Formats: sequence, C-alpha cells, structure tokens
Amino acid sequence: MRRPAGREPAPARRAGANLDVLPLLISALALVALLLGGFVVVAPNRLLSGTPLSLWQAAGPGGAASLLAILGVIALLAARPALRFQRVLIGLAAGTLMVLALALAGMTASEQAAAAGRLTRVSLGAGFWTLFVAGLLLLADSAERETHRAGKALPLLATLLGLAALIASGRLAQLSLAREYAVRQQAYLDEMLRHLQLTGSGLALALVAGGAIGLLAYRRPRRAGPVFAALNIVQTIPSLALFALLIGPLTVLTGLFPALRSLGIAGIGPFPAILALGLYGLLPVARGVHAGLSAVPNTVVEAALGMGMTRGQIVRHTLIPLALPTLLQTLRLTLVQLIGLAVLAALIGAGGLGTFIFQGLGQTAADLVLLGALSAIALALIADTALRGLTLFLLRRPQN
Amino acid sequence: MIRFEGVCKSFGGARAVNEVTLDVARGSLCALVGTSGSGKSTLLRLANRLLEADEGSIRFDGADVTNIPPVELRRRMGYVIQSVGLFPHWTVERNVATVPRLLGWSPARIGERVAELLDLVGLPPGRHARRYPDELSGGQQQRVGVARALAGEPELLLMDEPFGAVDPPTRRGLQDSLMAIQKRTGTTILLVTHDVEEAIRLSGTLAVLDQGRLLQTGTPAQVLTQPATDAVARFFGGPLLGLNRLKALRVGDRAQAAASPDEREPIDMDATLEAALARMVAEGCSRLPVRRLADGTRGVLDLADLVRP
Repeated sequence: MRRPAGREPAPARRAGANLDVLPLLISALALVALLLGGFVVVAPNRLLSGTPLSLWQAAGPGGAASLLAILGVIALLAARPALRFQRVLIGLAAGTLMVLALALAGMTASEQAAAAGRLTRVSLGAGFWTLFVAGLLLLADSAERETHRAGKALPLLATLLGLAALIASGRLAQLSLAREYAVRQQAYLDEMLRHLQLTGSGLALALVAGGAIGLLAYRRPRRAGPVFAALNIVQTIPSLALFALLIGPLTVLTGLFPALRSLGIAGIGPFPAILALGLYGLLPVARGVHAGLSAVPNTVVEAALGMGMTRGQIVRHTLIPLALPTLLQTLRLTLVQLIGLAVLAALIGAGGLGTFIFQGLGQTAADLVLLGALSAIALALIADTALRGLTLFLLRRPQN
Repeated sequence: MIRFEGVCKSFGGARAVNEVTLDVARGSLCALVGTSGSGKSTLLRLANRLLEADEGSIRFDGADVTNIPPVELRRRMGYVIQSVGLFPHWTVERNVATVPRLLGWSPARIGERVAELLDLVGLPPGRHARRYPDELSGGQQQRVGVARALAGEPELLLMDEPFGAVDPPTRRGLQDSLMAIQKRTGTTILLVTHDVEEAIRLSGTLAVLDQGRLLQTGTPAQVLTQPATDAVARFFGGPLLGLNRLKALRVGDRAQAAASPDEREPIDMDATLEAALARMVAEGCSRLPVRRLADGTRGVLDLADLVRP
C-alpha cells in the first residue's frame, strides 16, 4: 500500500488466458437486459405508472444499432488483452455507451413530449439502467486495471465531460428526472448544500473524536480492546435507530438547560443529525488511525528517537507519512459512508438530499426519489474518485 | 569520551545492569560482549538516554548525561541498530541527511556531507543517493545506516549488533569498512555484539558482561590470554579458547629475530597468529619469515612461538 499503485508490477497473466472475462460478461449482461427490459417508460402523467418502450421502439433502428455496435466493440476489445491501450479503449467505449444511451433516452423524451403533450412523463427504464451501470462497471474496471496514471484518468474524465456537455445542451430536459429537478431548482441547490454541510460537519466530528480515540488506543495498547468494543456497539445500532434515539435525550437536555437551544442544540434538526453522523464515523476513523499508526515499524520509530528527533518530529517525519496510506483510505471510506448516511438526516428534519427521497416516497413519485438517490450516489462517487486521485498524488515517489 | 560509573538499571526487580564502571577512551573502539540478557544493549541505551539509569552516573565528554537534554545528547551520538531502521519513505540521501537537517545545517553543507559519507561507506552517491531503502540489499542498507549515524559528525558512535542480520561475507566487508572509517575519522565507537570473532577483530577494548555485571575489560589479547573468570573463558570458546586467542594475537607479538635469511614471501607483523597458522598448514611448514621487526631486522615465526604461553 505504501507504493503508489502505478509502481506495482503488472499482475501476471495466467498462461492461456487470452480474453478478459469480466468485460465480456458485463457487455453480455447489458445486451440481455437491453433485449428484455424496457429502455424507457412512458406514463400519461407524473403519478400514474407507465408502459415500457423497448430500445427499438424508443431509439429507432439507428440508435439501437449504434448502442449494440459499441457493445460489440467492447466484446472485441475484451477478447484481445494484448492490444496496446486495450484498457483505455474499453474505458472510452464504456463512456461512449453511457453518454449515447442517455442522449437516446433524452431524445425519446423530447419526441414523446412533442407528440403526447406536457403531462406525459418519460422515465428511464430497467434496460437503460442496466446498460448505464454496466458502462460504469466497465469504466471502473478499466481504471482499476490500467497501470498508467494518465490512462486511468482519461476515460473517466472524457465520460464526465461528455455527460456534462449532454446535460448542458438541454437535450435531457424532457426526461422525467430533469423535470423533477427543473421545478425545484432552488430547493435542490439548498438541500445539496445542506447535505454537504451535514456530511462535512459529521466528518469533522468523527475525525477529531475518532482520531483522538485512535491515537489513545495506539499510545495505550491495553485500552485499545475495551475502547473498540464500545465503538463496535455504537456501530451495531441500526442507522435509522441512532438518528431517532438521539431525539429523546437531546429533548430532555434542552428542556433542562434551555440556554442550549440558543447554541443550536435541539432534539430534531441539524444538531442530532451531525451528532449521529459523527458517532457513525467514530469507529472507522478510530480503527483507521490505530491501524495506520500501529503499522509503522517500531524499528523506524526507535531509530528516529535514537537520532535525536523530538516527539513532534517523530510524528511529523515518520508516523504521519508512514501511516498516510491507511489514513487517506480511512478518510475516503468514512466520507463515502457518511454521504450515504446523511440521506437519513431528512427524517429528523435536518434536510439534505434525503428530503427528495422521502418526499418522493410520500408522493409515489419514483423520479423524485431517484433525483435524491442519484445525487447522493453521484456525490459519493465524486468524493471517492477525488480522494483516490489525491491519494495517488500524495503517495507518489518523487524520482530524481 | 564516555564513562559509566557504578551504573545500575533494573526492569521490574531484575537487575539488567549491575554496578558497571567502564571508561571508553576518546578515539577507541570498545566492544561490549556477552550472551543474550547480559545487559550489553541496556548499557548502550543508557548512554544516549533511551533508558535512564537507576543508580550511578554516566559522563559524556566530562558532563553528566542527565544534564544534557536527551535530544541534544542523541544528536551528538550516532546510533546504529541491527534492524537498521531506515526511513522507508525517504531516499538514501534524505536518510543520511537526517541529523544534519535536525541540526539545521545549510543545504550546501548537507549535500557535501552526504556525498562524502556515501563515498566513505562504499556507496557511490551518483548511483545510490536517489534510491529508496527497499531497493537496496541488506548489507547496503546497513552501510546507509552507518552513514546516517555518522552524518552529524558525532563524538561517539553507538552500535547495537549492527552487522548481526547480514550474511558472513557481507559482515566481514562491513567490518573492514568500519575499521577503515574509524581510522579516518577517529570517532569513538561503543559497539554491542555477541559475535566473538567480530569483537576480537574490531575492538581495541573488550568489555565482557554477564548477568548485568562487568566481568573484565582489556585488549582482546589480554582478555584471551588471561580471562578473569570461568565465565569469560566460557564465553570466548571454553575448550576452544586457544583458537580464539590466535585471532587476538598478532605476528608481531610472537616473532623473533631471524638467524638465517629466508627467501619466501614474508608475513606482515600485524597479521593475526590465526593467519600465520593457516599459512603454515597450507604450506606444510613450521616457520615463516616475518616482514620486519620493530628494530628493522628480519624476523621469523616458529610454530613453537604460537603455542608459547
């Protein structure tokens, strides 16, 4: 883990293995889903359930043929692992697949809206989602296995640019998902910002408290057992219950000390949500800090001490840099986990992207649920990718 | 250079170091020898205050070590351990520069010093300075460890079984380098080892420890010809003590004036008796010509001189 992934030796290929099984499998699965499931679903209005349209009906023979052609290209590339840039090419093809599928769905929505009126809703169907997720998996797989750093980033960046350009072009505006967004743009921005605030505050709390606990467990190994046992118990409380459990005690507390209310402390709202998120992040952060520090070889610390480094210098020059890979991984996993958990904050009146999910559930408006869920997923993916990139950057070995 | 006086150190009731008094002269190499648990490593760690003595005093260059802040004290002493403990995330160059950087030297002076030291330990900086520890062999890593310990121009070098983890040929190479380095720099060295051969080979003074007590100090020749106790004799080979004595004594200690000229290649005065015996065995003879005695006359070494008490 200490070396950047780019320096690891390429995994040895099994003798006789002359095709990549995973991309083949994924593209075959996508093909089956396209043939069986509806590509889009057309409903007379927002609340009624609709009827699925197959890829042929929705995108016409030209659109269908081009999607199938890309799947064919991916399968061909997968069968030729020796090809130069094979992984980068698969990644680029997967990105094209995703962008094109979305563009075709957007065009269908525009056509339907023009033909059947403004009330008609066109949602993305099971076939589309399978294809889109397949593209995402192919993209992730190619980035994971590509050893060159630029080769890792290129397909990902190209896909993101393509998706952004597609959204900016307005071609998706008639999709039900986009229309759900369009009617509540301001609310969406507010809740997105709120989601980030909740996650950020919860993370900060987890980092400070969890970091201190991890450090304590490292310095006093005998206390590590009981401390982690206690944190494990917190982790076993179902997340939904933890949010709800805090309401009671905090309400009692603010009842006893009304002055606390002026500090923003209350039984519902952002305060208990941040507290719950912080509690959830406590165990992973404490464990990560403890594991990272414990993995630093004792001999290195002894040598540092014997050479006359002060405590601060030992921490700065040996403990932190040598624990860094584990610490960054901890940060990434905790952040992604908290972004997902923060969805529940809406249940106790703290807002965030969960607001749309629970509103959508209440109204049986699936696309509103999707708007919230997809945003949270996108946020988690962006955070994950950004931190992976940061990790690669920080752990690179300067040569000459 | 460093003087231990009546030093005691206990761990949970067990005395690891018991009333040790030892004086290491400036510029000398003193080897602390003894079996595992004899307290030799503990004594070493008391010197740079990685441990604090319970009783007695340790004076470093005349000053009581307890009056010198540990961090300052350690920067004035080099420290080499068996597991090397190089910083894996730093290049060789940066590892060697550790103490000079702590001491706040100028980058130019540090660069010069690092290059000089890498040359000194036999790792040409052009090829090795930018490498990482995991790209080096065990012997090379230990060379870097020695260079790192010497970088801050320490007055005293503490070495805790420095060559214990490398294979015998590499170990001999490292020992030769260390002797050459000491000759050039004149650094005082306090070395812990349980390797009898290494101790005899390297040291000017042997200090034999057993169960925390200092049993005997003296030159290798003194200790091996007159072991103070049975424990000392046992440590240096028991029944094979005599063979180890041949390693400690030099041709010059036993050679006599030659009666008749001998045309064969003469043996050096400072070769060990062991080397002389080996040559006699190889050549099937019982006498060897010696290069030149102290008074300038030619010398001779007879098999009888080897076994003479």
